[in-house]
Amino acid sequence: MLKNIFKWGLKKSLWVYHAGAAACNNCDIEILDMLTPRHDVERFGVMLVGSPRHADVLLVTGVCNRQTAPRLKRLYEQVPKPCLVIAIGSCACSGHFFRDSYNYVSPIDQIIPVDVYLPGCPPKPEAMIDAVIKAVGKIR
Amino acid sequence: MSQSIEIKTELENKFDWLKDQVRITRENRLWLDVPADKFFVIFDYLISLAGFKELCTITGTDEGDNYGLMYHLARTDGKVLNLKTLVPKEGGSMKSIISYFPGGTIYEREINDLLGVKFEGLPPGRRYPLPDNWPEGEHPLRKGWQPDKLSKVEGIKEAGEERLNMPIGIRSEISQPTDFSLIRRRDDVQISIGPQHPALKEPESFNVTLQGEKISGIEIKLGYNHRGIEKACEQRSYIQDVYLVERICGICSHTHSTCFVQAVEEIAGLQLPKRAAYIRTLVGELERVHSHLLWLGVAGHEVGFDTLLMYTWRDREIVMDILAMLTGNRVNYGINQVGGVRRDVTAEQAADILKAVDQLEEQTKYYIEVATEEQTLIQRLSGVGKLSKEDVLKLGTVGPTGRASGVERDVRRTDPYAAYGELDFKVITSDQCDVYGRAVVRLLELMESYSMIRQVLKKLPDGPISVRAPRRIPAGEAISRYEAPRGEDVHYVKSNGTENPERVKVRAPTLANLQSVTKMLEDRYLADLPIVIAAIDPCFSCTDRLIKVEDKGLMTWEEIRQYGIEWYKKQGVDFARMTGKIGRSKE
Repeated sequence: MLKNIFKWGLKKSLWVYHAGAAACNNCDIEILDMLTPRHDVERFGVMLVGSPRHADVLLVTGVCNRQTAPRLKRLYEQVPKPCLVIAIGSCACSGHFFRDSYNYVSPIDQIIPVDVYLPGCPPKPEAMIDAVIKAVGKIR
Repeated sequence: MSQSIEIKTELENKFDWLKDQVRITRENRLWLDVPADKFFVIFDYLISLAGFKELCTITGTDEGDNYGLMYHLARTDGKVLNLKTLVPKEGGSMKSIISYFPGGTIYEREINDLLGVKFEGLPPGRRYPLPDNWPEGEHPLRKGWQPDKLSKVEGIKEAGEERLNMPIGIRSEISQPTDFSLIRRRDDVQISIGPQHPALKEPESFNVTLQGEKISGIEIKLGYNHRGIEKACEQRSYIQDVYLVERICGICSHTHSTCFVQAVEEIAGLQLPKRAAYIRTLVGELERVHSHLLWLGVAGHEVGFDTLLMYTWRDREIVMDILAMLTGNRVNYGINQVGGVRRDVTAEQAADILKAVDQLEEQTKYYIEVATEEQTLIQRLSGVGKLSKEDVLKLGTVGPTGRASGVERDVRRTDPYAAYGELDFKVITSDQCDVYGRAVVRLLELMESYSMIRQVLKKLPDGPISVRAPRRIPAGEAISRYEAPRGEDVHYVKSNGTENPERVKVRAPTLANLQSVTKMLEDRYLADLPIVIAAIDPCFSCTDRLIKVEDKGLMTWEEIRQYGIEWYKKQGVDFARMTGKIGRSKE
């Protein structure tokens, strides 16, 4: 019962937190692009927040390296559950170019649970909106 | 060429043992190998008398029994002298150049970490760029080094856990000074900013020490973004590397790929077709427009002027559409290849670009009007983040940050590449020496970029857009410079005659500029920190946690919670009773 209320609450106006894990800025600027006037997802209540403790959705970008992996885990622990995690960009999904790198740890999904994978280098803002919608669809 | 020969003869006259040692590979590029014992004689002479006052970077190479150390020294007229020396692997060490270039220690630290070269006189400090839990004695850039060696040593998970259990905000390593730290007293309040930022951009960490609201110390911690690209470049072919270096940074992706490709072309002796040079310039300038508009918005956001953020990002979409039309992708254009470019510009595209540039120019004029007339903006930015001309020269600050302090340093002018030698443009400088100056420089540079885009499209010569490049690049080395939106970008490429490069070294402009941030923040207020850091254009905005350190030493979360409860009890607030009242006593 309580779980359903949480789920119902999560469906409306998702607040997103952007967690960069050694990204190249590419996906990061496209996330920001998604939030500025051309695409303006704030119309649907999607808002970028400054603290993981306020977030419903974690947008993870970048190759997770040895330095950021424990920090990413800690960020995830701070997000109130239930929450959604979207891995944005090929790096976050699979490691992309950096699979063989000595500083690379693993894909994001081996560190924190991922709900939606969004490959692309970088994915277009339209694709990111689609990913958020797919994530909402998963709640049911 | 003549000036380079002059430098050569001057050196030979001064030191007769240098006869025929100086190599000149092309205009503006000199190479010199010296033995380690005579290194500082030449180094001293070059800096104090020959005018090579700029240190681009230091490259470390692994050469059999020795380590090669190459110091790339530049002069304001665009000449680059690459001074190389060898240090034996067994028991060898090099003297630190800290007395010549205080900012140069970060490059030495990098070589120390990645190759294991010891530097005498390098002050102890935090490692860079490898992670904190990296095992000692493992140096990834050494030739025979294999990543699978790491599986033997402690894994990431365990090391990560250990760090997770550390008290938040109070880290034991805080007491270690780094290259970026100011002197600190024990009773100050420390705020840790980063590594995660609420709004955007890379994870970096700032430990700020405060006295009241004034910043008395700042420690910048880098290395969160280290992905091992230099090693990855060595493992891939030149064709693959073009796309790999593009992903060093998403905002200046064209910068890095052009810079790399130029170096490879120079080694291979390829003659770049004129049309390709013009198209590279065109994309480069469009990239500068998108980057500067992005910066303007972020700067607006940092000072609480979000309307500016929304306006500039709306207009930025115009240039993003142009880039997508021209290259096929919004960012990471993938337009460069060794020997030319991959896509041509058609007449219709040119017309579209001109139309877009007109539109952008009109908008930029409006922003310039806002910047010069809006009192709130002027007063917020004036006098913040002061950096004098002398400091710029001493710390090697590059790009708009340096130009806003009156230093006319622009690689496009001093060491022209692509088609910049044939274009007419002004190098924008300002004597403001503060964040306001940096904003004005960037805005006026936008206008120059529009004019350059128009010139490129007008002069665009006919002909092929690429020449055939060999898969194997002959042995050789080259250094290439590029004026990125943020400043001078330097790539050093060394080839060994195979399909893969022997060594690729990248010095991005932000690394040079970060060293000036501590100077800018000296005795400033905490509220200025975001905009000052953003003004060099790595753009940070941040909120994080604050924990007060009293004479109790380190505290865990539980202790801090207890301490808080006790403190409130003394004030007459009892949480135990309160939680009972609102029905959460089960906890």
